[in-house]
Amino acid sequence: MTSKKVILTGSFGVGKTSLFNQFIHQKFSDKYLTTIGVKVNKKTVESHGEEVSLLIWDIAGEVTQDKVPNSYFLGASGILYVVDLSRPLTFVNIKEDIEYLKDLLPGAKIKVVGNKKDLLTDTELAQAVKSIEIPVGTTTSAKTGENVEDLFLALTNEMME
Amino acid sequence: MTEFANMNYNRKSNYRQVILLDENGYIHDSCDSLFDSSQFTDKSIGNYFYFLASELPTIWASEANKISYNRMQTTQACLPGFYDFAFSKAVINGKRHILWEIFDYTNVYKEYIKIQQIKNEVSIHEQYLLRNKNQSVDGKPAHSENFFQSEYIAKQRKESDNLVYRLIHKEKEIGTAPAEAGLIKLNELKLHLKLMIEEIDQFVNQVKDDEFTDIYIKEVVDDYFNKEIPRHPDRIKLIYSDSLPDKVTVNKNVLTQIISLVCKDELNQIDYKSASLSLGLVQVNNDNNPILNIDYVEQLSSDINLNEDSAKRVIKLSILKSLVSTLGGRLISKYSTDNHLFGALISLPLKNC
Ligand SMILES: Nc1nc2c(ncn2[C@@H]2O[C@H](COP(=O)(O)OP(=O)(O)O)[C@@H](O)[C@H]2O)c(=O)[nH]1
Ligand SMILES: [Mg+2]
Repeated sequence: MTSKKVILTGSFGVGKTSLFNQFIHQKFSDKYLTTIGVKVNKKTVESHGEEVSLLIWDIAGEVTQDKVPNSYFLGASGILYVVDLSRPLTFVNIKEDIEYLKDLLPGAKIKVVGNKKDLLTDTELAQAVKSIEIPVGTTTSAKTGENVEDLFLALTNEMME
Repeated sequence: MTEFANMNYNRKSNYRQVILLDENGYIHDSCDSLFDSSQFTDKSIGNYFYFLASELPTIWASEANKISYNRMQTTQACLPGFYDFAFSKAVINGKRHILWEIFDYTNVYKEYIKIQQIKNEVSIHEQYLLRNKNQSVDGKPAHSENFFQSEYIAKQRKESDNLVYRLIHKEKEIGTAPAEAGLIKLNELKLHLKLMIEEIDQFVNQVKDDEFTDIYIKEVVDDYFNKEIPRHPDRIKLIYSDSLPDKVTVNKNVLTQIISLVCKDELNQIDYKSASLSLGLVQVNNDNNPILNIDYVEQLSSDINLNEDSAKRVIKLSILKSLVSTLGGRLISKYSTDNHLFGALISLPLKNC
């Protein structure tokens, strides 16, 4: 079976752990518990009729990506760069961050994820998405589960192209 | 599976396990200090540890001889805490192997989480303050009502003598002060928390070095004091007990770090009357490992406000406590508001060579 390493990254408190838990365990908690290192879990999905095992890394959030230990990114095929749509300061560094990640992992697929969409009205959502300098791939809510499964499946399809 | 078991690897402190993996990811040998590896020998290790499924190919492909990953949380019940991993490549009998070192820093990283949690929540609150400040026209107090209601902090508050909470006891002030003042306070707090985290990281890395050498302990401690406290030669009285031999087998960096954590900050303060640091060695019966006792006592002036400033120091002590326990030692803190006393007695088992 093909395995792919996928990393959830972005600033702290944007919902990386929540997306991870929603995708792996279909669970959500309102409680904020800081992640200090790395947790890896596995989930098998199907892409183009083939089974793919996703090895998903939930890592501690850093304000900028160059602060994340390089070893975490080694061998990654997919990156989910998560921002909190309700906190603009979580996407002020997005341009530099994405460039940094592209340099580090030239072959990897990188997706920008706008999370916590449930906290915004449609107008606010459109406004937030427009203000992000890099096109947002998907907007999600780890709380309601909206688009979470689709996000991982879309990434898998891209990685398997 | 005997060689490593016989190594008696750090049996005293029991915080490190070494596992030798063969080219296919099967366990070849293990000292089993932290968990019984025999349950994982029938299949390649990646079937049990997802982290390894993900990383073994990368480690093989990497040009580096050693790769480290810090603060790992596994999904395996046999490793229920927080660990640092290091992987080194080795050729044994002409075959490629990977040496997997696991360092159990669970206690230490639990302290780390508390600090990081507060730091992140403070940062998020700061972001709201900044936004409100930019948005407010009339300079009204700007604060996020939700921040200090956060469940985590609410829980800290319930524990009456919780020191992390005491550190942020100025919450009301921060919450309702004009944005500027609140921001400055938050920034101070953030910086302080950042320093604490750096100290933990530094210590953890030094312990890992595991370089136990014979040192002339009095010279090392004298040196440290001369270098760190040249301007305050009389602030702390150094006492070497008669039991302390000239030479001691110890990790020098760890020793100086402990001394630094227990008394360095205080050197910059002027509000205490006197302090002493005593070092002695105890030989326990039926035990080959002698114990190094480091005793720090500080007599504070009666007029200083203990509650305010001491919170930071006591938090520091609780970090040190977890670090010392990782090394198989013990820390008893002495902290008395009534007697205006602050200090710690640290007992550290020395390496048996
Ligand atoms: N309303 C809402 N809250 C969320 C969502 N995702 C995460 N959160 C909350 O945001 C906080 C931080 O989430 P967490 O997953 O720990 O963020 P991380 O630091 O990026 O891992 C927690 O209190 C979560 O409950 C979401 O989609 N909607
Ligand atoms: Mg997290």
